[in-house]
Amino acid sequence: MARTITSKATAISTRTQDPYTQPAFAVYGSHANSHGSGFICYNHNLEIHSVFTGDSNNAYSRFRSQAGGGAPEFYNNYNNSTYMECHGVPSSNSEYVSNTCNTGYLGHQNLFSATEYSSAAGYITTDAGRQRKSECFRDVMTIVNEENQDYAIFGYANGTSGTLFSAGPRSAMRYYGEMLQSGIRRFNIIRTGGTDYNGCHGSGCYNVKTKKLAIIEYNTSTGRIRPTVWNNVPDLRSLSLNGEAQYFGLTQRSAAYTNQTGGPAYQFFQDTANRTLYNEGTHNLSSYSGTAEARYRHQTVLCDNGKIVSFTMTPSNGCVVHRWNADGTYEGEVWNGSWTTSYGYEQGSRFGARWQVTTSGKYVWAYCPSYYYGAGVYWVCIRVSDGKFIKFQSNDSTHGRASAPIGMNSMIWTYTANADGPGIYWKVWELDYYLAILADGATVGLDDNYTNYVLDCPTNTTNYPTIVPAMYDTSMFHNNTTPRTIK
Amino acid sequence: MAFLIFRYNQDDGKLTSVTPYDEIPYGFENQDNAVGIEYDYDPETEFISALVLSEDKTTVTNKYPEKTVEEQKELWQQEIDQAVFSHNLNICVGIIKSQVRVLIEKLRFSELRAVELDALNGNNDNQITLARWRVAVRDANNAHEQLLLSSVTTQEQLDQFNLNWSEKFLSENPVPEFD
Repeated sequence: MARTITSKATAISTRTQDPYTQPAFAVYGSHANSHGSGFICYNHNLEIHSVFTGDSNNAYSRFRSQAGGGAPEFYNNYNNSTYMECHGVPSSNSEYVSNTCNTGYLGHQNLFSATEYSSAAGYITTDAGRQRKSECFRDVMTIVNEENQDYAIFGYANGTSGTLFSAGPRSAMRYYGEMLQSGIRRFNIIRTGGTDYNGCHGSGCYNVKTKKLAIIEYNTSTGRIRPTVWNNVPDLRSLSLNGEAQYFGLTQRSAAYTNQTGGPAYQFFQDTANRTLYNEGTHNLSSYSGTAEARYRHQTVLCDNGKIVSFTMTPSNGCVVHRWNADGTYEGEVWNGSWTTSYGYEQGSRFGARWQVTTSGKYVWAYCPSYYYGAGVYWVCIRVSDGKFIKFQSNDSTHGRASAPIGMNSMIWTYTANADGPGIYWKVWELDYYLAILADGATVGLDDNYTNYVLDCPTNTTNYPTIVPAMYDTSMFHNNTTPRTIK
Repeated sequence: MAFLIFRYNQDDGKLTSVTPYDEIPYGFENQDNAVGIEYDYDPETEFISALVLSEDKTTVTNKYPEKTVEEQKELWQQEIDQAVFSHNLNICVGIIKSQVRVLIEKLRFSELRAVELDALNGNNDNQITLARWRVAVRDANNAHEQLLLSSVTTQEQLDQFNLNWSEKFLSENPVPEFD
């Protein structure tokens, strides 16, 4: 039958795209001194999304990932550098790419993520590059109940002045370049706890549903922390993506100034009438060997019911989970995981606790290594609606763990064991299911029943690969007819 | 009473972690590479990572009996450090060896030219030159590898050891080229 061809335009009223076909994570492997390097990216259905692998020999029509003979600049110059190699285990090494603290909301400290529009599965950066990215991993604060996870908010410890607050795209390098280096797009949120309180790094949470922002401050006198909740805060996504919104109302100046001291957002966070003070916790965080991490970094979740749950890495002890009731009273320390020597950001900004959130924005998991810089794990997952949590600890002195959000409410959890043969070890955890069926504070066996021999890694011989969380359009998972619109 | 899980490496069966839990973690089942056992664990007298399972995986023992917790921790740390050092040493041997391949790859064009010129000249002089260069590469590699293994006994020494021998070799022994 002949087809009728017409020049008349076809009207399309709707266009659909399956959100699950977006990239979810890439497996990264590198044995560049002899066995290749690269990324294999999978989508939310665990089907292949893209591949980008280099050959250790330039004779096979791929780019070369081995030094010499025309490899790209970074591969050529940093080949065999431990920060990008997978031939060693984290253990007591500080550098390896599969360290537990290397992944977070901003992707991977040492590597670049695939996005919904990228054709490559990922790429490397330099040693200096990962140092710069890691400063952003240190400062990024949690965002919950957000359908459009295309932005990030940051808090920088500003001593007794409070917290230097920034809002911008979900990009470590945008934050580093514009806010940390140039000092623009940020303003100080005053400290509100009292005389001895200091601002912290990355210790806050924006709850989009309740329009509240929690900020944690540290009391240098008592060694304890205290949350402040700012109520009816300005739309922080708008502030993040529409940069000019931060400057409305600013006066043109002829004299130099440093931090922003004008605009409605700045004004809002100077007025103590806008905030509610919670009680100071009772756990003294000043005595741990790694004092900076324990004092000044708290992965925080401000729940819909007003409860606050905070995960703090306590170097060379383990971790502490604090919880506050909705009325601001301190419920107490609900978990203290402990084992042996570990290090936080006082050893460098690339170490310490990290967090990620499900696509739904309703489950946050926070974690840190349990052994030295990057092996083993302490992990908690917090339900945003009510503050219920589950936990896991592994006293593993050899391997790291890496995770990423997948699907609507799930997390893919990987174990960076030797992938020579089995590929990467992984399991998908439906967090809404486990938070529903398990008791508050229950332990879940994240290291049990791994699947392997399914997800390949882009190198061979003995290697310990990791995964790189992708930066996909989370709004596509929601019934959002106007994704990416900035209010 | 605690519930201890001993986890083993699937590759070589070595113990990778001993973790105490206040309850059986959800989803846990005894497997070849993970064994759970109830044990009266007292952190005041025993360091968790000093505990091992008997061969039949039914009894928990402390591999450093009569030692204080701090001594147990120290002995365990020494074991871990030694294991990490051995692992890193093997990696460094691999990095040294990989430079042989990089150097020999540089001969590709010279090899073609050598065969061609030797055929025209009715001898194998150029191919012998290349063979000698390749032998020199391997000898230099072996010498550097031997230097590493004989002189480095600690992680600190390994961190200081220069693994790159090929750069100096190339400066002293340029790749043979034939007109």
